[in-house]
Amino acid sequence: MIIRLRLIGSGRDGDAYRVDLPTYQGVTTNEATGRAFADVPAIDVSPDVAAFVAAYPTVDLVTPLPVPFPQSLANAWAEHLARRYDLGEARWHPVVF
Amino acid sequence: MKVSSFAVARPAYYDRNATRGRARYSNPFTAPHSQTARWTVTIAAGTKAFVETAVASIVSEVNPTTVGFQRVQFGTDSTSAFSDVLIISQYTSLTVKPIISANCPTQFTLYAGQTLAAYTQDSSVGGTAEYAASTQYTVFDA
Repeated sequence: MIIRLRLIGSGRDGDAYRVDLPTYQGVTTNEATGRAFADVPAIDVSPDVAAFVAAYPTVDLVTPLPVPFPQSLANAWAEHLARRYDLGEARWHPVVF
Repeated sequence: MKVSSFAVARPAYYDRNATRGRARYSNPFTAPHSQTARWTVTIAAGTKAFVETAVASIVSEVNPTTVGFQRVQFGTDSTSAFSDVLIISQYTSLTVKPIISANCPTQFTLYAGQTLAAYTQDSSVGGTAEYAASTQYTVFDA
């Protein structure tokens, strides 16, 4: 599913612009606003995050969300990814942005 | 002498819940830009993946005014394209070339927790190019 996420990184060598997810493709970025669209596997998205994305659709990389992404959902998503990849750590902390 | 039994032999990887995965990026008329990850693939616990193909290419479209390198590369790190470069397609020229590409010469295995990522970068001033980075892989039970 396509999700608008916070862009991380500086774009310098060794710190590429990227989104904080283990698996994604189809990235479109706006470095000025710090946002990016990415195509994320549905299995990597927890149901409550999917519901939030569906409730607040985004059409560009500029317009802010009407409500900020709740920290509780951010924590839950990080835990979901940690469980799915089971790597012993919450390595990824994506934020719908 | 019988040394193994078909009945108890471990199935081949393609018979262990194998599924095909793909990641690709292709975007024409891309202006100069900082290093950007276009996709990543991370292998979940309990699985491995054979990366069967990986291709990187650049089609130069409009000459830059100040030349810099245009680059597509694959790495096995999610933050840096320079720690483990697998494939690199790069050129520095003020002359438009129709296509420059590089293929991964062999299959390789990704283990749980490893990431394969594709990056593009263009340090020129002006000009545009089409960048492409694609891979196909098979994920299976470890």
